Amino acid sequence: MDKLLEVKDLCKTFSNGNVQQHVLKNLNIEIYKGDFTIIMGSSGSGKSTLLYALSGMDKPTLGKITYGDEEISGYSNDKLALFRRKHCGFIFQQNYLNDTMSVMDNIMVNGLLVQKDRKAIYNKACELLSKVNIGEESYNKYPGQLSGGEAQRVSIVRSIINSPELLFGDEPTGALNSQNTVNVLDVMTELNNQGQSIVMVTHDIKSARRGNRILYLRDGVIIDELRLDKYVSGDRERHVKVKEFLEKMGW
Amino acid sequence: MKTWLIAKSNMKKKKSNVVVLFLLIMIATILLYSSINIVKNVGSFLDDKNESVNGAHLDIITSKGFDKEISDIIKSIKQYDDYIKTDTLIPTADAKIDNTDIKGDDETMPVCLNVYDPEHKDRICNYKIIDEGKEWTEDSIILPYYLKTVKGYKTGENFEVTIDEQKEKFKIYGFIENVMISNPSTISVYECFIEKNRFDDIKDIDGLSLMDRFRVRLTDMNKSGDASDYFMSEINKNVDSEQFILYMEIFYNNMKTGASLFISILMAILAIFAVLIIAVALIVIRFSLNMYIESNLPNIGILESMGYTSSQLRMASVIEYVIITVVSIVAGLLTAFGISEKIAVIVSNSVGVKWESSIDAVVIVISAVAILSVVLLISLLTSAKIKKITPLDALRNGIHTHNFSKNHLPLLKSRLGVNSSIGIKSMLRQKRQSISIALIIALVVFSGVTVFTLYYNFVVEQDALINLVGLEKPDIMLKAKNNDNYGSIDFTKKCEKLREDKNVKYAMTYTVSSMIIKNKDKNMNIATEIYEKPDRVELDTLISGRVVKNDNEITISNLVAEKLGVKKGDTVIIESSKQEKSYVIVGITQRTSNLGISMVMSQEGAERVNSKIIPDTAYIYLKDASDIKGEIERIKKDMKDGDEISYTNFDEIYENILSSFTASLNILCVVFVIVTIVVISLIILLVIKMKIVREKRNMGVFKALGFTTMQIIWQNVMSFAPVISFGSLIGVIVGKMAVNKGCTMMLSLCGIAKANLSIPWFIIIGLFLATTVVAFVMCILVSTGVRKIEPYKMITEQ
Ligand SMILES: Nc1ncnc2c1ncn2[C@@H]1O[C@H](COP(=O)(O)OP(=O)(O)O)[C@@H](O)[C@H]1O
Ligand SMILES: [Mg+2]
Repeated sequence: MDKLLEVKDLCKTFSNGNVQQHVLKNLNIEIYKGDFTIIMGSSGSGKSTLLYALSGMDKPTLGKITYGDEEISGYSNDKLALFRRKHCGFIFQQNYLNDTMSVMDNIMVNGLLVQKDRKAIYNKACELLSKVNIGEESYNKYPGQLSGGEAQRVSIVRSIINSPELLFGDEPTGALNSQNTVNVLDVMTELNNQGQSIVMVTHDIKSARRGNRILYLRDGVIIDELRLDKYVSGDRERHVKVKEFLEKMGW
Repeated sequence: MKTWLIAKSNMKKKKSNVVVLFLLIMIATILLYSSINIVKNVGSFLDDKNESVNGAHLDIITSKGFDKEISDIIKSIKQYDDYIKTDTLIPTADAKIDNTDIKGDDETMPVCLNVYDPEHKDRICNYKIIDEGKEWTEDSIILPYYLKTVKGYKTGENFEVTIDEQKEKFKIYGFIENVMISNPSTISVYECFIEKNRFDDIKDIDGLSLMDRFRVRLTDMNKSGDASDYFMSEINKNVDSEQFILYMEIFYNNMKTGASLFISILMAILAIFAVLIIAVALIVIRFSLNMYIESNLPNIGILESMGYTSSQLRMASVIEYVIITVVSIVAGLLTAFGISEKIAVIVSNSVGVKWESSIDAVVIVISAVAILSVVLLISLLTSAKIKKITPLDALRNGIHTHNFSKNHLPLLKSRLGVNSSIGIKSMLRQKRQSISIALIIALVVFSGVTVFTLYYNFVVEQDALINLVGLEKPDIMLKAKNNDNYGSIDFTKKCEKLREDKNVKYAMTYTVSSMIIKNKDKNMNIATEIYEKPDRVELDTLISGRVVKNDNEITISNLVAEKLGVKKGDTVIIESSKQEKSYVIVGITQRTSNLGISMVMSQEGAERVNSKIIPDTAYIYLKDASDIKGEIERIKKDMKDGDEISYTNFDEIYENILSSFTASLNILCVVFVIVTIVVISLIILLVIKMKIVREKRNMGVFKALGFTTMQIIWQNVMSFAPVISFGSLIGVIVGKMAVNKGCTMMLSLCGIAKANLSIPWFIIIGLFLATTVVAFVMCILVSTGVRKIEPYKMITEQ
């Protein structure tokens, strides 16, 4: 398996006044190409903190993060920005679409960061949008005019318009109802099946079982992981495996 | 109370808005109060000052030997009350003054020397001495207050008067304020007082002439114009002698208007400036109210659903602005009182009389009510929108107010870079805000064009001011050194010879002669300006018609035309030494100097009515006027007439005449530049800060997606800088088209019919570039605030 990302002795400490909170403590992981990696853990355990450190959104307090042969842990903010736009895609709990721009422009804005050919970006956006079931009639709508599920699917398209090597999701279904959750997870599963590497944070078992590798975060370190085959729908056995793993972890 | 709580919390949320409004209204209050206060009070202030010293209403200086005739005429004036006659010394040659304790302050200016006796106070013009020295000696001299305030002379300093190369040394004993002869822009003479024995010592020196001075009090000071007219016509009827010289005849009303003319113009400009700033403040109010309503729809809805009525909420918004305005007005007024000393200096410099500002309750009420009522009106009108909001609308997060209608500049079509496109998209989307900003900038830039145009025309180039003042400005003036030589020097011949000089562009003779102009039963006595060739005069004061070409033609000033009830094309009778001829009025002119009264004819024309009128002055216009001093020496040598002729550098005289105006305009320009930078900076600070607050999340997400800080700053710059440049462009274009008209209108309120100001392109382009650059830099500086936005925090902090 090809290693995409390697984390060595990652520490992240927040200080609130005099109080120091060590959220991540000498954490080590590797992320592999083609995996749908899930990071689980209880609320407040530092899942988001880890994800944002992995994706170069935030700087670690100590430790080394290597992406391919780039060591990103020492990068400046602007260098990190360049890194993110080249290699990473993001889906957040909220869709965080820019409410001052149309659906299409929200996607184009991200595409234009990396490439100049407007027509090519547009065509790709159309293709991706139709994949996530957003019709042409919505292209010129504003995010405020979409339902939550639609908006989240648009934000998925935005995150993959530049074909990132790694797609990060921080509880991307956290704010959705169950039907929309399924739709979004289906999209992500489909993407993974086509080779997209994904790292997703969740605390929802239904989301977790979509991954083929589940990491469990506790006390600032990954205490264990579960490897599975690729997801196929209606796999009862898989659900039980995941559940058992999580119960063992104390979830 | 409830509404007050809401208003208070609103203000807290919009701190930068509140600060901007506070500053704008405060500045406007300072300018408005100060300018109205001065314009309203300057007249009565001067009246009080003159009356407090029992000041003269007519001041007349004549050659000796006619006191009987003159005092008879004075006593026959209808409003006559009292008069005193004193001796006075008037220079007939080049007179220079110099404070030897101050370098480079020497100037060419006639002095009028009078006797001061500390034991015996004059009945009329019983001046109070400012900064009075200890000992009154033969060396003592009392100078006009103008020299203290503008040139900074101090009691005890050494003062030198040079008349025809003879130096007289004095020590400054103090200063007096004479409203009638207060500054050189009204009448170009410094009135000085010296000790009796010293006066007698120097009265016989060459270049000084002993004259009679009559200072007259009237029963009604507002009738001084009538008294003056009567006096002049009686003089013409009753005094007919070659020996009679009327050196000066001035009357109170005109001198008062003249003294306060420039400061009134300046204050009018300041008041207009204040109005512009208020307009900016109103736009800010409108804009921030709209923004508040838009971004607070849910809160408004929740408050409404709790049972607040929409008019309660509306009142909260209105109260908010009223409170800010009241506080700012109070702060502005307090500041205005605080800096009144500084403003007093400007007024004193311009008027030449010590201005003591007092707090004027009426002006306070006028300026406060004016500002408060427009603020009230605008906030009421704007907040009316709240009435239309139902709780449901608001709780649905204001879908209705969001502008989904049009997608400006779809990125697919845009040819610009992605960041410029994002910036411009946001600019187009917030149309109303962009228009407001453009409007504000246009207003500010427009007033900039006004101020700098005035500055350019009145201070840098001075042509407009010279034309306004209406005094011909040659480079060099030649006069006989001694009055006794009158008539013995042939200036016509001299000019012919001078015209052959290699650096002389032109030379012509000039003289002034008192004539009576008559139309039916009306007549007026005018010191007529007689030029050898009126069509070669460089001054352009014509409002209509043309200059004098033939010997039966005259031009008169609009004031004269008005008084006589004549117009261009009319024929009038001119009387000189009891001889009469008729002349055609071919042009109407205007001027501020000599109190607006002027009549021009040619030398031939003058000789037509009175052959005894001969020129006593020559004007020289140089081809290259860069070194007038050197040219004077050279020409003097060539002509070999330095003994009998005095050569005067006219530039110096003019500088003094204009200096009071120049000084005040300098200050005005500084005020303008500061206010402009403050206003533009505040506006940019306000809008960009608001944008950052409003779109913090979007910017954070942009960063998360991989936009760098610089790219986001550029997006901000692109969403404001074009608007500002556009506003600035509109401002300069409208300025270029309208400033001349606007200034003309304003000046015409001050009695000046024509002010042809040139607006050079460098002002237009310079202002445009300057505002654009300032805007750009400010945008970038304020936008650096986005550096602090961390993508990670933006997303986790919900
Ligand atoms: N910017 C921050 N400053 C201080 N403490 C933070 C910050 N971000 C997260 N934390 C703290 O770190 C811990 C982990 O947070 P987070 O990674 O968001 O947890 P999770 O995503 O697993 O719910 C929490 O206790 C949180 O309060
Ligand atoms: Mg989290």
